[in-house]
Amino acid sequence: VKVKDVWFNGGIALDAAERGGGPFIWRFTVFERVLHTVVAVAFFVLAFTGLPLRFSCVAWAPTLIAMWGGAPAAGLIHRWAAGVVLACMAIFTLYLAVRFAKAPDKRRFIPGPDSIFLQRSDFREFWQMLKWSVGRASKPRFGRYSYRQRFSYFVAFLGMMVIGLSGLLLWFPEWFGRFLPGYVFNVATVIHSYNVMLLAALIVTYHFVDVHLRPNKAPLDGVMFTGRATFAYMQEEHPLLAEAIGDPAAGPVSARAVRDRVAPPPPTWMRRVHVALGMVALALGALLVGLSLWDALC
Amino acid sequence: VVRPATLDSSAHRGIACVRCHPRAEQFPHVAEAGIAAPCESCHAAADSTWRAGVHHFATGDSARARCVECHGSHRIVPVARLAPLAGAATMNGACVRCHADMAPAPGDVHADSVACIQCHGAHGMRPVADPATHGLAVGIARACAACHAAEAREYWQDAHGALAARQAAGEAPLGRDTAATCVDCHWGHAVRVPQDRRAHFAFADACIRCHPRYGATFRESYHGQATRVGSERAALCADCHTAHSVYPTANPASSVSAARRTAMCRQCHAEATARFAGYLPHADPRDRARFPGLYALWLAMTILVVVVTLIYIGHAVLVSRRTVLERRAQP
Repeated sequence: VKVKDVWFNGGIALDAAERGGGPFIWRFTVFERVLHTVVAVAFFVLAFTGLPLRFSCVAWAPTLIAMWGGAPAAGLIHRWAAGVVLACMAIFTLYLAVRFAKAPDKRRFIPGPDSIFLQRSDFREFWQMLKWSVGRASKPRFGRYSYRQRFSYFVAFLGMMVIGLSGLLLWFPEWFGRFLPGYVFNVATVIHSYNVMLLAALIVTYHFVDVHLRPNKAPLDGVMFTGRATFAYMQEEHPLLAEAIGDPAAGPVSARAVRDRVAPPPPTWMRRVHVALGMVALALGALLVGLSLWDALC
Repeated sequence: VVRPATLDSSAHRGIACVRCHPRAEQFPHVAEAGIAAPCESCHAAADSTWRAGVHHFATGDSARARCVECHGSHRIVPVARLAPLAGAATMNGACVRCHADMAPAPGDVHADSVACIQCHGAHGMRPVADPATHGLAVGIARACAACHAAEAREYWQDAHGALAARQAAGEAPLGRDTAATCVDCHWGHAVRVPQDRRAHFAFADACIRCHPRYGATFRESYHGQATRVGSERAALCADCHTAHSVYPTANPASSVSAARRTAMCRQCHAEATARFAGYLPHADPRDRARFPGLYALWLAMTILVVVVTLIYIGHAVLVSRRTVLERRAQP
């Protein structure tokens, strides 16, 4: 069996977004995919330069830091990566503002089916999902985004703001010490360290499990990297959106990443790269879980 | 058989054999003629101090060190006549014959320059944990002062030295721990230069051995975490508390007393203000009584992290279980 067959053609594709019938549909724009990749890489850089400090009693934490070139280098890389994330947050906020300005129906921009903001219907759908999981309701039918994606966005955005602010306090303590009492650095240390746990738990035990590891998606889902998914995937994960798109065969294939249009299948190089990256990311996530569990033992 | 040439380089050249081997006067020689060596007949002072020392009173049947075990016999040379380093090497070689495990560790700065006897004494050698000083190694500490006078002056005044002196003299109760003397932090046989930043982590561990609570809060602070993963810049115990002038914070002489703390922070944080120095480097967010605010924050954050993580995992398990069940139900 050729590797190429195992990965893409023979049997079931590794990438959940390539499984099932129908043409590919554009789901994410190039801007969103690039931004997500940058933030994901920065997350791992931040986690592996920062968490060995928090879990410094783990025997291999100094080894992780040494791999960055020592503690001063790791500290510098951590701050640079934090700057990248803060810049991405600013760019994304700007992007939302532009989209809001261009939106034809501004009232439906924040609470609306195409909105990424957490809204009241999400709590209803969460409750329905729990009832479905014990066999007491039908499965909720999601539109463009499920409550899980909106919740992840909400927690990640809020978490990054809090972590970023407390991180700035700890980055420039002398400057903040001109007008803030030293006690705020004690507070900032606790907030930074535990909010990181909150965010890392979201990424590793929720985002990874929900997006990549749950039974109908395992081992991974590459829609955020290739930007497209099969129509069958859309019907399974986002049935309301699939209904709104209607007959996929009717539209012409769009080479540009235009949302909801028919897309060409992802090129082979892209499939290889994203599957490899996805596997590495999952392994790194498992390593983070290992680090925190190991710390609980010492 | 001892040939005359053996004695040529000896300090005892020209001294009659029978001065050391009195029973050799008997002729024909008896079997035990060789063993008596009455050194004290000439070296009375050295002999009496030896009798007070550990090599005399702490005897087993055969392991005690008599004169010849260290000084050799027929080739004996006065220590003073050898070049200092050669003399040190000769005497160290004699010590290591019995104390092989006490050879200086690699990197010990004393290894090539200081002889065992310079710290341990020669004829009147006492145990390191001397019962006469209630087990405190103050004898060694006084020997350190011979070369490290400035450090010793500070040490004997500060919290460690003053208490060690009083405990050794029986004026202060020993308590659970005895006060630290030089070797408790500097390791007798693995002494490092203070400029060796890597060795400083070992110094911090020495502090933590006796001060575990401060050690634990230090290890959870940024300084402690960064140093443990290899930072050589972040502060260790002695960077704030000094090495040899350690006093309780309430003592105005302390380097971290209220009046001097900001200046101490400025050693590393050049722009530090008095507000900045209000940071609590040993705060313990788990100590409800002493840090109620931090404790409340810590508790809230911990509960949040645990509950949210459990919800994440529970959600994933429930949804995955149902997905598998539905898939099985399909033909």
